[in-house]
Amino acid sequence: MSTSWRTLETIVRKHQSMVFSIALRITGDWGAAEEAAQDVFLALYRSLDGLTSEEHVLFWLRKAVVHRATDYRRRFARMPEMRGEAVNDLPGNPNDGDPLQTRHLQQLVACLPENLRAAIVLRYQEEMMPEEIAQTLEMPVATVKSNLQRGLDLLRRKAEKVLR
Amino acid sequence: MDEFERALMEALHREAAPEGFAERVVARAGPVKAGGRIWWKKRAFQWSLAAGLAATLLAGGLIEHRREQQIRGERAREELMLALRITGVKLHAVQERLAEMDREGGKQ
Repeated sequence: MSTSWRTLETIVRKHQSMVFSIALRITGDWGAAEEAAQDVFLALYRSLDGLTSEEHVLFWLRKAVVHRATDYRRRFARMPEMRGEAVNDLPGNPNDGDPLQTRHLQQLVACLPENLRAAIVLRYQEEMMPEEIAQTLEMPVATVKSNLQRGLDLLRRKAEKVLR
Repeated sequence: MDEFERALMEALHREAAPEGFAERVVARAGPVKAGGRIWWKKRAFQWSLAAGLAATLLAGGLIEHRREQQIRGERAREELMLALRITGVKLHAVQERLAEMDREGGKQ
C-alpha cells in the first residue's frame, strides 16, 4: 500500500466509526476516545507500507485501538480531572429500543474490569468470534471465552439490580 | 444469543465519529509527513557529507601514496647511478693498474 494522504483519508473515512466506537467504549470518555482514535490512525499512517491487505488494516486498527484506548483509560484513571464528556452524557441513538436501558448497559460496560471490557466490546460491538478476539488481544481462546462469560455474568447481575 | 445479549449488542452499536474527525486526522498527518521529509533530508545531507569526507580522505591517501612511490623510485635511481659511478671508477683503476704492469713487463 502506498503511503499517501488520499489512502489515509480513505481508510479513516471507512473505519472511523469502528475505531472511534471501540475507543469510546473502552475509555468511556468522548474526548479521550477521539484523541485515541486519531493517534491510532496516525500510527497506521506511519505503518501503512507494512500492511498488505484490507483485512490486515482492519486487524491492525482493532488491535491498535484497544491498546491505545486502554492506555488512555489508565492515564485518565490516574488523573480524574482530565475526564471530559462521559458515555452517559452523550446523546442516545434514536434507533435504540429503550434509551434508558441502552445507556445503563453502556455505563455498565464502561465499568467492567479492563480485560473483560475489551472482550465484551469486540464481541458485542464488532460481532467478532472468540478466536478473532483472541488474535486481536493476543491471548488464548480459552481466556477470551472465560472473560466473555465472566463479563456477561457480571453485566447480567448488575443490570438486574439497576434495571429492576 | 439470548435477549440480554441482543440488548447488549444494541447498546454497543457503533457511534458515528465526531463531525470533522477525518479532516482533523489528515491535518495532523501533515506535520508527520513534513517532519518525515525534513528528517529524510537531514539524513541525506549527513550521508552526503560523510561520503564527501571519505572521498577526500581516499583521494589524499592515493596522492600521498603516489608521491612516496615517486620519491622511492628517484632515490633508487640515484643509488644505482652512484653504484655505477663507483664501479666505473674501480674499473678504471684496475685498467690503469693492468696497463702499468704491462709497461713494467715490457721494460724488463
